[in-house]
Amino acid sequence: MKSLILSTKYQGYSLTCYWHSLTKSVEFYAVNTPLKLHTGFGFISRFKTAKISDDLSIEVHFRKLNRDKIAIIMLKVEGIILKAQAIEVSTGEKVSMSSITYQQLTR
Amino acid sequence: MQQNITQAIVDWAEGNSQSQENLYVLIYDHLRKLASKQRLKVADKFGQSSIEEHINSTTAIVHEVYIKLENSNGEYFRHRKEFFIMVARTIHNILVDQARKNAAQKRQAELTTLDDVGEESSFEFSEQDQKMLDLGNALQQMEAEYPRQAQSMQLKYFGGLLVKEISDILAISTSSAEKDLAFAKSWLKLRLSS
Repeated sequence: MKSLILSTKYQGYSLTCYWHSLTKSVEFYAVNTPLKLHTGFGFISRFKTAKISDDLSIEVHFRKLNRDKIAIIMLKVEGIILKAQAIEVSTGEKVSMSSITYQQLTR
Repeated sequence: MQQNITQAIVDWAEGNSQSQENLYVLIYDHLRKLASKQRLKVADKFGQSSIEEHINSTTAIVHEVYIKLENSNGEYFRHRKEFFIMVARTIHNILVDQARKNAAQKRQAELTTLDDVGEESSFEFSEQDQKMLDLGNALQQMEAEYPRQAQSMQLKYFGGLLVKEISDILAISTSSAEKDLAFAKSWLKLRLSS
């Protein structure tokens, strides 16, 4: 099942991220071709960079929180967070970012 | 949340890799709420058009704050107090700077393209711009003369913190924080009306 995780506008581009709960992958749309980020069924943190224009690249990050079924999907520009959303990996349901603790990020 | 942030700042200061991203993730929601609130406040006061161009969304403001934090390399805040003050001030500055820039651009455009521009409309722009400059200057002056009261004010109005949180951060009693805020408010009112 495909669910919308986050969407935003940046420098005139509409950026959208979907989560596929079956394959546990992220699909990122900015211009025509979507970028697919496989996460090893939700176990592996990784990122890919999408080149949007000559001077704009967006990094799509998937960060799995250790020992939790929660992951954070982040869009970054030059390494700096543009937008972030935490999700429940199995269902793709959104999780409030304010509920994430430092222990979850570090342990 | 506050303990989490303190720990994240300590780790960042110690140079732990990834601690900066951890801090960003922890403050993400807080920053978005703060940025959105400040954006509405500035739009209310100076008009929606004043912040429409570059800083046109909460996402953009939060991104700008992160860039500013990134550039600071964690040097300025050894603990939570400095961190919160820095974040609050940054959001306010981003918005007011933008509003100021836009007002100046509009004024410039009018001066160069419309010879017969009405006195009233050009006066409106300069008055708005002047108000912002006055507020910025008054805050700076208060910071020099009454630093604690100025910090309380920044934490409350730009940082969106409660009186209890301000008293914790500044290590003062709740009633002192309340008195500081009342003082700062009337001091600014007096300064801006004179």
